[in-house]
Amino acid sequence: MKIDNGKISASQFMFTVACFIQASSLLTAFFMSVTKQDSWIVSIIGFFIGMIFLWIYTALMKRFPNKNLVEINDLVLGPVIGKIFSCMYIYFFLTLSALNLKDMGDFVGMAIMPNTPTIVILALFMYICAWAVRSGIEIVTRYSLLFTLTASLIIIATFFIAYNQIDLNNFLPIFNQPFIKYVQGTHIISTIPFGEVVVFLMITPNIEIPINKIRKYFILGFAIGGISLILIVLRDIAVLGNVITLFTFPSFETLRMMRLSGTLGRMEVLFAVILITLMFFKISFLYYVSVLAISQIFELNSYKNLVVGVGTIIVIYSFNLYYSMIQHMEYGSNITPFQWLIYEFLLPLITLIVAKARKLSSSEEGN
Amino acid sequence: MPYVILIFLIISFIDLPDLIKGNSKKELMVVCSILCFGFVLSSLYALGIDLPSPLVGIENFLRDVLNLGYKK
Repeated sequence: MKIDNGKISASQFMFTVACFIQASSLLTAFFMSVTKQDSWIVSIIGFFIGMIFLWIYTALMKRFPNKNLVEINDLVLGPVIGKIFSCMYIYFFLTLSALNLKDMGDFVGMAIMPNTPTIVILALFMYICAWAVRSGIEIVTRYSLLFTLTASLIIIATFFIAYNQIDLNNFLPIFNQPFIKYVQGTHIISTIPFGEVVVFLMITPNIEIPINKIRKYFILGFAIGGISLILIVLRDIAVLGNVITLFTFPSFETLRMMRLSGTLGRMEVLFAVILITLMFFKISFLYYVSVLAISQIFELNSYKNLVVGVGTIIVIYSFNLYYSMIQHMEYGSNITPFQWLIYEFLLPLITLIVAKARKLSSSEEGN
Repeated sequence: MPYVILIFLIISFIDLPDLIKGNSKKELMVVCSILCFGFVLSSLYALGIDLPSPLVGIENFLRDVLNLGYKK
């Protein structure tokens, strides 16, 4: 049974994936604080490791083109274990939306409106997101093309504007850190921005793409997002160099340093614009996915009445996640990648292996 | 605290009438329990009571019991 009958086309799906990854690429501090000037190497390796995750997700999508994650779990693992898996995923989706909301609130509170209480900003933000989510998947993904284009344009433009500030010596020394640091950096970047695309398994029935083309569009969108992330990392290192570890928002500081012949200063407003737009997109998508998963697990006919209730829970949960920003940074770069690996790699892999072993597939009956 | 009660009253007036008129008892139950949960969380937040975070709990479990996690 399908709850949302909205359909999204192939290119829209592609730009949704791209926009989703670009949104997390603005908060690169987690792995930059670990690998410093070698972060660009780490992000390229992480990009290819993200491809392995993508292979698992698209294999599941191809096997069950008309089922979403909760239904796949029920079908493959049976009603009891499937429900446990689905509950873990719901926890993951809720936590992810709350974490992103917290990042957004921290940024606005720190950089733009320091005197406004954070709860006011977050509640108003969630109100807009709830509006989008109530309208369904088509509305949530409709502006992905516009947002991706704006963000890519700003990223490319700032790359040229920053040209005067770039110092290639900032990349040296290369490979001068202990090996474990590179492993840790790769682990962080492959789980925190890239592996989060597991949420797209929830909207498989809404995608109108022939089964054998899903992988192509998924990888294309992933590549757009990944390449803009690598560009951002390269730009930030080239401009800031070794002091990059001092900042929570490296891109913000990079743009702050740019000047065009004394007339165009204060470029960081561009960063604020794309951060808030992309965050709006990512949070409303995650919010939609959590609401959909909750209504699916209780087998309801409509998800619309759950939207506001879940929204209030996410807002309050985002205040409750970590006790301070320092704890957030420390846990985020040391332990969270391991936790995310459970939801992004282990659970989908178990599902795929069990589905293969039981020879379950829904691709013949539906299409 | 009065704001919390006001906001939740508004939310219930928007969401619940259609559900009560319709005959889906299960949906009403789920929506009501989620709203109640949200109300309890918001009231605790408004009263200034800190709840333990499930995320920190799981991560402490991973770090201390399973010995996962990178050292600084």
